[in-house]
Amino acid sequence: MIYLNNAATSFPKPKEVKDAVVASFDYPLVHSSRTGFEREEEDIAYLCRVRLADLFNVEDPLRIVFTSGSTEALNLAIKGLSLDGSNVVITAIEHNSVIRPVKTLEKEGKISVTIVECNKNGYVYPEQIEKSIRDNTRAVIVNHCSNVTGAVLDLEKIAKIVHSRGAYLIVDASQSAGAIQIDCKNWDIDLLAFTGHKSLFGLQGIGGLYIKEGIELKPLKVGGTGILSEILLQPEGVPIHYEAGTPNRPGIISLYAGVQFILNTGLEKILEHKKKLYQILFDELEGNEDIEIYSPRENTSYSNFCFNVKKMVPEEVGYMLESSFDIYVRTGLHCAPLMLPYLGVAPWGTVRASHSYFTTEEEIYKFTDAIKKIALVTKKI
Amino acid sequence: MKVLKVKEVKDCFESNNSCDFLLSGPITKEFAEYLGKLGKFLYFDEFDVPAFKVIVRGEYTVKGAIGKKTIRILLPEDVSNYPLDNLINYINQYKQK
Repeated sequence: MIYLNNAATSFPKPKEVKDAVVASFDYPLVHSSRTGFEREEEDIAYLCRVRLADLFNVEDPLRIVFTSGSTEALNLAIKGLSLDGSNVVITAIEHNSVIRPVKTLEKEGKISVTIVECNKNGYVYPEQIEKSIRDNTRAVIVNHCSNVTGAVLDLEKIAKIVHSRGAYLIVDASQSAGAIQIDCKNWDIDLLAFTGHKSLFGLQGIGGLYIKEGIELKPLKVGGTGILSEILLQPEGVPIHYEAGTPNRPGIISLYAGVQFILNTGLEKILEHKKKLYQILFDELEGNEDIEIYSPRENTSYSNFCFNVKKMVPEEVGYMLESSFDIYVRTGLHCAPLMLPYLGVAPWGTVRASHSYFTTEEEIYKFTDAIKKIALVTKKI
Repeated sequence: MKVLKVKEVKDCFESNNSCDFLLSGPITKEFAEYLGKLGKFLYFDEFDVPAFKVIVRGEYTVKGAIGKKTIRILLPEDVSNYPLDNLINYINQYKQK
């Protein structure tokens, strides 16, 4: 099997992740808030926050709260800010995990939503965002890296624009966390949502939200925290204010091991490998008259190769890849329906092949050979 | 050959009205050709695992690959509960040589 659907969920995971999760069955899972200072080194949740803070350049690791993934993190950010009566700016490259929460609030009459267009590769110009911000815009939500084309936005520039207009910047880092550099401190990110099971190599069901110092959100859920049980309201302070309920300790263990793997290997080395594979994809398929590529050459995560075989719907390509070549990609809308008209791929969407650090050159060549054979089929039909 | 199970397929697919048939045995070239008699038959033997497609104009499209135990049927978008009994009966009548 050749797995090229890493933008959905990464596979395989590093051996270290599997080992850490399996080993967790051999000892009791320690509750972070119930451990004494002397046991801090054993507190996997704290250690995980510290390593995530290293990766995202966050000063205070406790400002990273765990969630079930990006969707919950984004819901916490969007519903946790007091946005009622304001305008919210999003971009055309957003995932449904952003579109649906804001469109629901809009339907309820609580906010208005402005959508900023993207170019034919899924890139959103900061200047376009600037033009879309109104006097009553309270939040701008941007996808750092498109889950469709892999286009990467200029967060540093966008943050400056957003803050100069007095709004919050919420970043969806589902695709970029663990894939490319993120610098919360220097880019001045307000809220950054991430998931653990993609480029961070963790299990499904773990993710988080970075909340900048000084920002207070209304929690999505309240309940047991394992400490301060005498208080009848949700305890204040990070991360406990946002982490009611039993934490997903196996998920946190996997995420810790995944982030450790990235930091030990080096983000640059991981990116370099993916860049090499990305180059092969372009070398082999760009210029083929039967193939249309939507992913950009520049401003990219070098992980997503988004294309179509002309005269063939994407699902057909995916079906042939799977049934005749044992190659797994993703086809369709990729939960990013606003993008379709800008790419010119409505209503069927695209084929997305997403590789990882563990994908080999040989696998990429087998994929491009398969695509060339499938493209020839269009001449038969 | 028997159709053991019919499963509706839900995804961002080329047809939002499609289903998979689970068959009692692996698909052979002969079985693909048998299905091919229903309409326009396309056979892609240049693939690692040869695949086929049968376009029954105005009705449905069947596709699959040799050695697999499932075929996919793409049905017209605008028809719900599309009658598949004839196709199922046709498949059930196939006798492996």
